[in-house]
Amino acid sequence: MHVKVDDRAAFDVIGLMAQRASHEIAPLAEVRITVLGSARIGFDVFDGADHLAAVGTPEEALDCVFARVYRRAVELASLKGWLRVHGAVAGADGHRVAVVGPAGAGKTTLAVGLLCEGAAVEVDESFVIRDGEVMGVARRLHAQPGTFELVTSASWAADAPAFGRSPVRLVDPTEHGFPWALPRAPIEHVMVLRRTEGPSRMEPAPAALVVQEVIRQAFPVLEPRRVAVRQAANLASSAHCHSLHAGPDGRAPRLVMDLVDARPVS
Amino acid sequence: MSQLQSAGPRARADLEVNEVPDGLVIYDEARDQVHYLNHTASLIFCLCTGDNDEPTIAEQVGKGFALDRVPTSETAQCLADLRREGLLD
Repeated sequence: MHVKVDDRAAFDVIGLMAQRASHEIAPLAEVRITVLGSARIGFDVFDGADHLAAVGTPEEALDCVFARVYRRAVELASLKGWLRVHGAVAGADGHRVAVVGPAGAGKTTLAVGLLCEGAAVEVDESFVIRDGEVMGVARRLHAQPGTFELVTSASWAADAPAFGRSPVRLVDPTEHGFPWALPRAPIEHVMVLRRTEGPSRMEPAPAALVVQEVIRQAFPVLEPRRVAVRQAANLASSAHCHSLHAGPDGRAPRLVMDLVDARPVS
Repeated sequence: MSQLQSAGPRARADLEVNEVPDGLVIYDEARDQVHYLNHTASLIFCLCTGDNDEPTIAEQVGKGFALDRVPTSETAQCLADLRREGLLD
């Protein structure tokens, strides 16, 4: 992705799209975005020669660039048979875990908590699946203020850049001393994440529950629904299925770490 | 005609059937519906080849789960559910 921005303030905001995750696969295509203008006169966003939008603020320009780049990436992935799913991925000691859940379920809070527990967090928002393999969709972790209330050991992330006037912090793990890699590989555990007001707990789940949630959290682009069902079934068949109830005690990351610690590397 | 009369229940051929560790996930594209079948329902569904009548299916289920009786009424109920959900011809 090449983004040319001629306004310093806009450059700083749009630069938040940049992240330093190491990718296992080579780029499939290039996107060349140009953002012209300033906060005084507004911005015009182009993809090559195509005028995408005229917007008023750097944050709106970032939204436009983000949407364009991610749509292209997800369409390309879809053409290659990958299905995008709302969820988080992390690994520890060679074991990878995928967590599926809707917006607001606590994926980012879990991801930041896992970082603090020493896990290698890959993504907190979405990943793509194909034939049981999982690959994170690169994006900075989007931590809400509630994350820092629940994960008190994550105060370091409060220094991450904010998105405009929003309280959301855009966390690049590498800027805080953590590794950040996005492998393409199978996972060992898949869990459905739910909030609870009670104590955090994890329990085995039927594959059907995981399939149902993966289908619900899938974002099919070009693929028919039967492909989403097949990929969800493949994912649930290739991993141990769990349901994770994350409570206000903040113990959910520890439960995930206990799970991966309990399984020796084979 | 006699062949038709002796034919047992038959699963629809156009369904997309996916195996998972605890059963089957079936996608019915014509109705855009996803069905989740547990082990018992999956076994009964798989026995719906058209060659097995209901008593034979019940007998096979009894053997499959090492039951001490033939689960006739349970099998009939499951077949009725599969029919109601449109998974059988």
